[in-house]
Amino acid sequence: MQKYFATFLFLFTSQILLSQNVSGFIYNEKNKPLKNVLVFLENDGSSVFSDKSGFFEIETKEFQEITLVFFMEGFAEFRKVVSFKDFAQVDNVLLKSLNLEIDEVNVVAKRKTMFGYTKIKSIDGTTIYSTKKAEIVDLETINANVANNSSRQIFSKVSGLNIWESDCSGLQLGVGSRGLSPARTSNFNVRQNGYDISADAIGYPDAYYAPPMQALKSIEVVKGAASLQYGTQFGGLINFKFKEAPKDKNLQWDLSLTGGSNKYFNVYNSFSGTIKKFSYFTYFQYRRGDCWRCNSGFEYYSAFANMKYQFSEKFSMQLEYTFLSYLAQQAGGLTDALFEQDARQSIRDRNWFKIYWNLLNLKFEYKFSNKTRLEAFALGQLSGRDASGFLGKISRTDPLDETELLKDKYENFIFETKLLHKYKIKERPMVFLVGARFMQGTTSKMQGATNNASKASFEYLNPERLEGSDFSFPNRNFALFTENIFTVTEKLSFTFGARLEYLSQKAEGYYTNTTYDFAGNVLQDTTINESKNFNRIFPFFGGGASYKFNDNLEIYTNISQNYRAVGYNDLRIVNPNLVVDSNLQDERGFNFDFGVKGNTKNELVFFDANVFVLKYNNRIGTYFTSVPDPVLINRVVRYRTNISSALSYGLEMFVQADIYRLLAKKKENAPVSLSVYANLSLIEAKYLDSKQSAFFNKNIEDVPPFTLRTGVDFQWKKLRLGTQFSYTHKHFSDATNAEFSADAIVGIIPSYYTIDFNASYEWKMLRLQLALNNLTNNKYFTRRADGYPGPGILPSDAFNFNITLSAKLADLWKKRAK
Amino acid sequence: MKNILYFLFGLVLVFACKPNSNSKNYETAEMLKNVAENIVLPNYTALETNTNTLNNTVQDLRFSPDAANLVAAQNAFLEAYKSWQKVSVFQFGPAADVALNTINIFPTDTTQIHSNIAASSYNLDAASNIDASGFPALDYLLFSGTESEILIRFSTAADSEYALAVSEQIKNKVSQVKSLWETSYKTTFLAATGNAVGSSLSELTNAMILNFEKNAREAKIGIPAGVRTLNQIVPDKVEAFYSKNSILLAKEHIAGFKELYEGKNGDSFKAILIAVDKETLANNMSSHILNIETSLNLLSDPFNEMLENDNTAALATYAEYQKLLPLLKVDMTAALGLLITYSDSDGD
Repeated sequence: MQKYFATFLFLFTSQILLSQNVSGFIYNEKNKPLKNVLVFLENDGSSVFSDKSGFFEIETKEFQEITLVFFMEGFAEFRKVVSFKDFAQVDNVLLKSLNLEIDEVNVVAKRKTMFGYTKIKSIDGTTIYSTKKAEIVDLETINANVANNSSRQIFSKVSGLNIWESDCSGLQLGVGSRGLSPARTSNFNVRQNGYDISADAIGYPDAYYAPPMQALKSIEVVKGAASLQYGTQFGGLINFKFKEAPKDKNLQWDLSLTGGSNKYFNVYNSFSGTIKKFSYFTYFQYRRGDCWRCNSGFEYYSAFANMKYQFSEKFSMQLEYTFLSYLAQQAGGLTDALFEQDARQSIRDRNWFKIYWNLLNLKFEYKFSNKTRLEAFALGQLSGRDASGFLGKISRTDPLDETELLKDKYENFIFETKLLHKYKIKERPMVFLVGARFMQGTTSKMQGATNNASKASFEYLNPERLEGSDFSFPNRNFALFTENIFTVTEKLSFTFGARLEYLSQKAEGYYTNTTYDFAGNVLQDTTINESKNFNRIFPFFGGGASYKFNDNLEIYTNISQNYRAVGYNDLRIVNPNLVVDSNLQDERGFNFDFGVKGNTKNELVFFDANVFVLKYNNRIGTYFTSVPDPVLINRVVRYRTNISSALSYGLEMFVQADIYRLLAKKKENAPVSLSVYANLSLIEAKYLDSKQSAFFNKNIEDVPPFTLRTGVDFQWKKLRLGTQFSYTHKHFSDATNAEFSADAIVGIIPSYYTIDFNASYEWKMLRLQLALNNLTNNKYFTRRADGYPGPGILPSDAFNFNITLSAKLADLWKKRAK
Repeated sequence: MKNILYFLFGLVLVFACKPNSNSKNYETAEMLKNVAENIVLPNYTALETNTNTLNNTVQDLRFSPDAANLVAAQNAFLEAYKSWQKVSVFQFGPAADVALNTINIFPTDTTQIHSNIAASSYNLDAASNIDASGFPALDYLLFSGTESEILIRFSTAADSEYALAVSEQIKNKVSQVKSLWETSYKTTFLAATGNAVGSSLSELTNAMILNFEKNAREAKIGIPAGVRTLNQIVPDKVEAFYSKNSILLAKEHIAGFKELYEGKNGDSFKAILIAVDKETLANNMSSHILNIETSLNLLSDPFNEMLENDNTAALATYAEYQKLLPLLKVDMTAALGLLITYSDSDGD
């Protein structure tokens, strides 16, 4: 026993005699302890890491000097010679951080311009684009008549759209896709900066207000599969994104003046900037014009202010206020004969239209980390629309009597929030998104008589008891949604989403039932009160897949259920012979896409082609039926319910090529771009079945079977030129596929095309733009109406032009200050 | 995998949705030809002849107001009014363009007539004068009062001039429409085949049903019988109030309606209903028309006096019209794939 102990003691003391511990602390320049610093003993090659208090301890067998080298990423390497007497307590080591100062770098090679086309990422902020048909219009590089809101030019590179042009200066946006009606873009979920701007997102999603294009940076268009994140509407999402405050300036002053045909005048003035943590973007726009058609004109005021405060890197808050007010005189419609005779004429001089719009939005963004972010907005809206005029058939002359006045008010509050979280499963990136939405509001619609005489009148003759009806539609909507991206391999990923929607809609009000004798004398006048209540809750789902061959080629597919909520016009009764199904359902269906998109390796040719199917299961409409009646035995009534199922399918294709660089291979960095694009869509759309037998197997109305938009864009240094040819094939304007009707309310819309030209030149802080629209002065129309703003044919504008002079005035100011 | 399934499911949906065979295809060419040549044109011709005669007798009466001329004018008036009933069933096309139906807006506004006469300058085409012109105005001028009162009226320059202006307007409008049919519209009518809105069949059907519903069922029978006024009769709103021929005219009207429906020795609605396998419905409608005729036989002129005694029989007649209406407006249109376009719209 003793023998072992002695041996152990001997070995132990010899160890002590043989090695020493060298230890000390490591700090950075700010005297904070550094952990994970590699401490390397040069003498024997051993090493240790410092702990979180900056302490290190290393063993050595040396008895004299040792050399320690300290390594840490981001810090300069440090060598220290330590003598034996200091082994136990090395002097504190101070490491200096590596900071290279480089001179300002100027990027000389300009990025090739894509003239408005943008390649989409799979996620942007809290929006998931992966597997969906998504397109972004870049308004800063597009050759389009932005100063006059020309939607056929601005949306020229978005596939499959039918665009109505019946308002001057793009006062009302009328865009539809995949066979859906363009009427006031009500088949799209229309938003700006992520929040709703339509009159009432659920029951009356008409986009009476759309922001002026001069103030926008880009427009996002996501087709059907947008339903999971945004809810109602079959067409998908259109999101207008405003310009942002410049980060490098305290004040930027942009002023733009435009003048053009028919006394068009537009002044756009914007102040924006960033001061430390506070940034702001504001604009004011005044527009007026006499419009091309007789008896029409408008005056328009719009203002906007966005104020953002970046509390910290993680948290920011934005307050946005939007204001719009305009008054327009509308020319009314024409019969086919009048249109042939002179498309410019007007036989209605008492139709007036006015809107006012107020939106106040508060938005929060919180970035928990690089992987997790939360966004929320709270929006209040107070808006209204007044339309006053004589709406009788256009084949009748105006009896100069009372006119009809429709007054709507839209008041609602919306709160929506989204949380996006990126995580990994076995090193594969996944994305999880969850969100909730709450909306409460009241839309009120009044219909009665006024007398316009020669000036616009928006006051009722009998406001206490309207001749038409007065209804209030309180509504509430609550939704929960989730979307997920699963990456299975580097190339293959899937998305899956679900949404739960709760809707509560009420209709309360009265209508006046006046019965007349055959000569128009009043027999009886009664007020009938109506009250309806619709509540429902339902889920819907969607999913998609994407296979990326490489960075340049991807195939994608998705299928997503859609719905369109029952509209207030469907709930409103203004006639005792109209009965609304108490079991009226929201219109439901689905969107399916399968496409391939990408670009050539040299990024000179971009393409996106897809087939789509849009199934619309239960469109709301009316048909005549008889109901039992105690007095009359059988009473014929117009019954409103879900009557038709419809299907549209087709091909959407876009291709753009920079042919200058393709042909002149060595000139990759030349400041020249010559780009050609083609945007083509083919659509077949039919009513499969309908309770209204007149629709059975007919083509769906307002669906051009073929549209083509193609053009050439050119850029050389600061000069930009663009020309666009846009063709829409003839199509029907009603569900019975009428060819002609004497009152022009229905009938064929003949094929039409337009050619536009845009030019822009920049010199120092000035920019001059010229837009020539409908160069060939074609006479055409894009729509017919059975009520506002016609009825009848609504002709589109002949040749017109406008010139814009813009200046970045703050730069001028700054130069003077120097 | 799931997505492929969805896609296939979607495809299956598309092809499995076999269109519901609600209406068979049918030809309209024969019917349009028959209607144009055997019903529309002959009836317009008859109406033109009779309104010409009426105008002549009114002229004679104006220049020489005596009992014989008055009787001639009154008879001519009745004949013209009867022809009008047959023509009223197809008020579309040129008739709609010229607003021919304004030659029969009743009850006439006697106050307006007198104020026009007093003003001595008036535009009979103005909107305010639609119920101070046409047959109902002549009805008043030729029949209201005793014989001597009427003769005095026609001896007064202003009054008789007004009567002549009214009858001239009727004559001119009728001629205009007939001439349009004869020259260009017949071709247009025969060419617009099919059943979409704006097609000849659609225009004709809408005109026929609108006339049946508003002019016959409501104006001639229902409104006077009190149906729209909580069962309180309004007998002064009958047609031909002064000439006391309300029921006579109603019978002419239903005869014209029957002619158009049955076809008068050729194809019309009944024939094409049979062509789309709706024979039961077609025969049903025929028998309902017969019921209306039978029921009308139980009513008598002067209709306003009958109503004042007892409106039960009138209500029964109204019920007969009412039984036919759903067959027309719901069943027939559904069978033929036609859309009723004359209802009020509901705003935007």
